[in-house]
Amino acid sequence: MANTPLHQQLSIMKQSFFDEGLLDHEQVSYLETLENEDDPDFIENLFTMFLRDSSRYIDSIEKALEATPVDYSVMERMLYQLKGSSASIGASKINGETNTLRKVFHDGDIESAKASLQKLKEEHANFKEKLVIYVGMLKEAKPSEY
Amino acid sequence: MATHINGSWELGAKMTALVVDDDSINQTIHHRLLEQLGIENQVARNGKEAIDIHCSGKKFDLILMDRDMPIMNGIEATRKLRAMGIRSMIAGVSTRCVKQEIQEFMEAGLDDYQEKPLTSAKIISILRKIHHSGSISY
Repeated sequence: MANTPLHQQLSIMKQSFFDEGLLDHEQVSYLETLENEDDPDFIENLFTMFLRDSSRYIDSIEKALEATPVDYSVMERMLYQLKGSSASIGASKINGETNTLRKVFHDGDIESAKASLQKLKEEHANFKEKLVIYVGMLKEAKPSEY
Repeated sequence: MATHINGSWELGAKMTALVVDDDSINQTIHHRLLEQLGIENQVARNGKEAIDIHCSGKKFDLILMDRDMPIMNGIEATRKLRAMGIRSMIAGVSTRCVKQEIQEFMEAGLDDYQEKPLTSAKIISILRKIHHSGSISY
């Protein structure tokens, strides 16, 4: 495997995701076993999909929570979608904040749910910022690997 | 085709599976996971698509059925498939962990239930329950 400065940067960045609890090491390692020469862009595609879908889910959650009355069925669906996809790619903090929001929402406290949503949005923005850079670096690193 | 994993598949027809999930990430992961295990598979985006695929005459050894989907959810799709006489192994896949909700899904006609995210080990534990034309041995 190549050990260029870019690959070293990728390793360091990946490790920082694990150290900061943004990504689950075990889940990411598992996903990496599914990537090979038949599907070399597997991880990159997954992360790109998550960036796109998670933003959409959070926007829908926000609209549903702001609606009068609150759109419970949309909230329920979007929360499960976000819970599921964040668990699937190992996005631990997003998954954690989603579970917190779900619990608060199910307890019926809408104001606390809105506060919890703000926390989720902050975590998501932080994660997204870093993941976009990481995906960009993955794209750049590809031709020399394969 | 025989596919070697920890043990080996008994020789027989290649296994087929249908992934029923509305989430593109889970579709991608489960499709790849099954592919790596040597299981030919396709994806349906919701319960209705799963029904339509079966109505077109296709059959599968294994159906991975997500619970929460738009248009037709996994519970309704499972009930309909069983009512149509589909005897495939149907494994419910969900993030739900409340006993009552799992029970409701099982009662729709599932053979097994697994919590997301799916892994090769979880798929293999499902496949162990399938009585195929040969049997699966490890």
